[in-house]
Amino acid sequence: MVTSTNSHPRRQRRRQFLQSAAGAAGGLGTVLALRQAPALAQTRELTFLTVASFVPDTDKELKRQFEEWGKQNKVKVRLDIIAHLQLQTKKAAEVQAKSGHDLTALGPGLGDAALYYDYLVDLADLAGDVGPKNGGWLRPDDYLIRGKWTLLPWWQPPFPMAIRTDILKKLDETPPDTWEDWLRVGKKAKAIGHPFGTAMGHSGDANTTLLSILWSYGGSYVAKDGQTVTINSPETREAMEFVKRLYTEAMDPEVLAWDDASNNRCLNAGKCFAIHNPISAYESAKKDQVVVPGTKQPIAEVIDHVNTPRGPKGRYATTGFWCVGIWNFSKNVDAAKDFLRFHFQPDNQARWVEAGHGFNMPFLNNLTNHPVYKSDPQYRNIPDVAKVTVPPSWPGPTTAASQQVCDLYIIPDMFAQYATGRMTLDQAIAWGEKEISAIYSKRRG
Amino acid sequence: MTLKTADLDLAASVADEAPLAVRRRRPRFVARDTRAAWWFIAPAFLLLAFLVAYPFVLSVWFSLSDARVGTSGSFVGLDNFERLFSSSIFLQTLQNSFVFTAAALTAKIVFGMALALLLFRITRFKRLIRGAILLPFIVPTALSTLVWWWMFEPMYSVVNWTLKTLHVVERDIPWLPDPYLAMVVVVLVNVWRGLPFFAITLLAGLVAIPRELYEAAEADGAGPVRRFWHITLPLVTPVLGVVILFSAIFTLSDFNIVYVLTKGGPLNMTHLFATYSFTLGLQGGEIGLGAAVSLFLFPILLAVVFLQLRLMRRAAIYE
Amino acid sequence: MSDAPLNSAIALSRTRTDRARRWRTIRPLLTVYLPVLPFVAFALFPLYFMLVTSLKSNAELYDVGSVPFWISRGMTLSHYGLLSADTPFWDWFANSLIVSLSATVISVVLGVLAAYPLARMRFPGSDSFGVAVFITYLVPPTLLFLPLTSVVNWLGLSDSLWALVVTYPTFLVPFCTWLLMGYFRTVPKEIEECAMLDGCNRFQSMFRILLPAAVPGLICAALFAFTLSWNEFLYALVFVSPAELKTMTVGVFSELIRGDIYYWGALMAGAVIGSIPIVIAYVFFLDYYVSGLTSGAIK
Repeated sequence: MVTSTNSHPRRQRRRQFLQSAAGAAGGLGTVLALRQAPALAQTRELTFLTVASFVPDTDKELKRQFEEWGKQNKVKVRLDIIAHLQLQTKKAAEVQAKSGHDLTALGPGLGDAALYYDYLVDLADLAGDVGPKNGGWLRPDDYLIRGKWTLLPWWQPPFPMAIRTDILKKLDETPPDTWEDWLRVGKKAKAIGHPFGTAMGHSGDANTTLLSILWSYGGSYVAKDGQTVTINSPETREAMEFVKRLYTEAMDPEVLAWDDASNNRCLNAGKCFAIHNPISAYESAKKDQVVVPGTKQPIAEVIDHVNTPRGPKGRYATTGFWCVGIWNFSKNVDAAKDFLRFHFQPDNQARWVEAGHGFNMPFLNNLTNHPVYKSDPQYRNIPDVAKVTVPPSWPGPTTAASQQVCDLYIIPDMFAQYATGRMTLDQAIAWGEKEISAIYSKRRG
Repeated sequence: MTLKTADLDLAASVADEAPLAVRRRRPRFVARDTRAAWWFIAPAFLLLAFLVAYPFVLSVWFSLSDARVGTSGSFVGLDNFERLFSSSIFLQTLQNSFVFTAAALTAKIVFGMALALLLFRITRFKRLIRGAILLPFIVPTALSTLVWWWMFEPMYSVVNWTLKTLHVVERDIPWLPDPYLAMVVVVLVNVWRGLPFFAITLLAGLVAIPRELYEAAEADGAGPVRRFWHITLPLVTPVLGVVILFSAIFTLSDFNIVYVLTKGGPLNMTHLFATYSFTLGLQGGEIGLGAAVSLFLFPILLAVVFLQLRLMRRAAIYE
Repeated sequence: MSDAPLNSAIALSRTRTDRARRWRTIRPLLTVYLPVLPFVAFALFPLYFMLVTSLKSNAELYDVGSVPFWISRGMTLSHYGLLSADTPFWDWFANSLIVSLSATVISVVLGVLAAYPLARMRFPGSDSFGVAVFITYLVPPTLLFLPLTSVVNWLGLSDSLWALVVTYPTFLVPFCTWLLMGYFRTVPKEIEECAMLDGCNRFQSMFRILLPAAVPGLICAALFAFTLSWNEFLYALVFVSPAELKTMTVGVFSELIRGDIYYWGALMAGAVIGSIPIVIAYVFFLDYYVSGLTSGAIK
């Protein structure tokens, strides 16, 4: 809720509209004649399209920095905020028309960089400049798309495991650390009415968690070369057997229809025993003062966050990689770069992370040590999660094809086909392999 | 709304029998009319040519090309369509679209007719009840679909709460997670939104039926059922035809309901042309393929619309 | 529903008449009002639920144990307050109003102009234009907006309300034309022909004779156009970015859905306020609306 600060320009714009409307009362012909005329800013303006942050204060801080930079450089600035669900539509329209904002948020995922490779400015100089100032990028090799910095990785919401400590106590258990152990404890929790919750439908969270499991069991869907489809492997089978057990023994079938918000609600409604999710659930429980059903106990007080689980082959996680880029059809490329340089200054980054209450973790080493992660014990494991977070295409590079595998939810569908018993293990893997191969074979880079 | 097309042709055919005096003068009018007519039509024509026809032609081009977002691509013939036929998700989408449209249309026809017959007989609180029935059709769709989602949301579903409280079921019914139930919900919401259109339009059709026909039938001893089959139904058929045509087109191209409620899941069992096209074209950037999905039915629809308009005209004239 | 046999039975005993009279009042209750109830409930429940949700406190809203049907822990206007104070909601509202009204006026005017010759004149191409108008509805909007974006930019209209005022008529004009064409044909041609014999030209006769006779049809078209504009989402999202120029539906979505957090109460409050103008419009014009449909079909 940050978009409006100053009511003046807004009134003016509308008045401007009404005036031109009065002038154009003649009809469409006049409108067409007005080409170029209405409401077109004459002064130089730098515009930035971003997504509504999960923590509204983040947007406020970004806006503040943008305006401060604008004042220093005598440039008019405009920050436009939309829901993240609508970013795809907006980006496609701007690229198609080769016109729109100067700076744009990209994501979730690095796929946009591949998808819009031809329309993004190479930011190698900027990346080389701001990285060292902040202790270096976390995993710089992952962010290169076809060898180019078509975007700067901006922030990620790491995925720890959120858990109800009171239920854990009731079960006389300690927080599990491996996926197998989560299943064991999850079974016990479900028996007393508190299932484990992770989305398995068409949602970003489903991609995230199921990929984390796949990797932790040693599986992957594409090799490092970014071409060889590797989904048909004994490791994938193992991961799928595990998820089937997790689904049937520790979860409720509703997870098949979950969107990104459902697990938050499940936890905050006092139902779910644990969810694999960023800390947003906890934040909103605190804000809305939700209580454990039937008690006066605020639910936020009995939530804890622990490290993302490890599997037989290691600990991996992924998340939405939110990035920022500059369109090459922008007329203000230099100014846009200049603002990014300003925003990535250590003190500005620090303030921005502070405003996000630890939700938005930059991909920069120094910021994993930001004091905000020590300010609340809830945040203590978040830097650890960030360190094992890889892009969804891992170990392959991010390409338009890898992005499409996520966009079409092939991985969740493959897991769900088997877990729900609609397909046998062989059928489900064959289905997944066919779909993924089809996507990769029809794509270059 | 458009129900008039049929009747209007009726009106036109009546006008053709206008007195000879008027008729003889027509040739003079016709000559002058052509120019005048185009002046009248010009603004609408320009608008549509510029803002609909041009983008449409471009979309057709996209569907025949390998265009990606931002490029216009090169011609690939019917490759995109071939690719679609080898995609299991597309075939599923095709099936979903027909199931969805058939189920929603059937429900809307049956219940819409029933509701229209009831509304027709209502005398007290007429405005109030008609207004209430019309509401789902007019409140902003983007927001009203959210309400439905909230009502079927797995956790807080008011439907499940009610069923559980009444001990009809013991456990939550997985409305949206279950591929078949998800389709049921999606159809239900479509029916909720579209039923008023059917009911009110059919009501208009019912009002138009001359009372005398019923009185005559009654005098002949026809019961309510026979009157319905022999008078009401045949006489509202032209209206019903237009309503079905319109509704079929809009139901087939529905986007919002599925996008908000299921995003095409679970397991792609609720993807419709519009949502799948959106997923491929915008999220995947494959404009060509996306355009092929959304234009897939265009030739068929075109033929259907053409035939239907012709048939209606003929039916109207023979009456 | 025949009362005639009953009327002729007046001569019979009083008790029978009484029973018949009672039956006459009860029967419509049983056969009409009772069956219509589930339909009304089905239509209204989601809207009622929207209202209730918008007035509940978050603590109650997110408590799975509470009764969802009514408010048991005190009504709150906090969601409405959040809309008003923390978002430019009233700006969005005003934008929606301006855009919808402008688009409606343009569309009805263009619709009248195009419908008139289609209903009244014979000229080469009249049939094909009529069909073409209908076919615009077959064009799927899901991807159409991409090429349209280029056109809007070329016109220099992006990020202004003009973009919407100009593009909304693309889906409104065909509709208005179609509707009005039908309505015009129900108005007898002869009065107009008389007027023309008296020296009126086409335009004058349309204005003085036809339009006054077609008021219900015009209102019907305007109501529809207004409703469709008010509810439009995609073009409003794509063509206009600045927060203060957004329309209501887009604005509500962009500020109240934050990643995996939905401000349910405020979203529903937005939906409630957003429905009010439309509901008011229909309350005032419902009779015209139905008669616009009805009398069109009689002729």
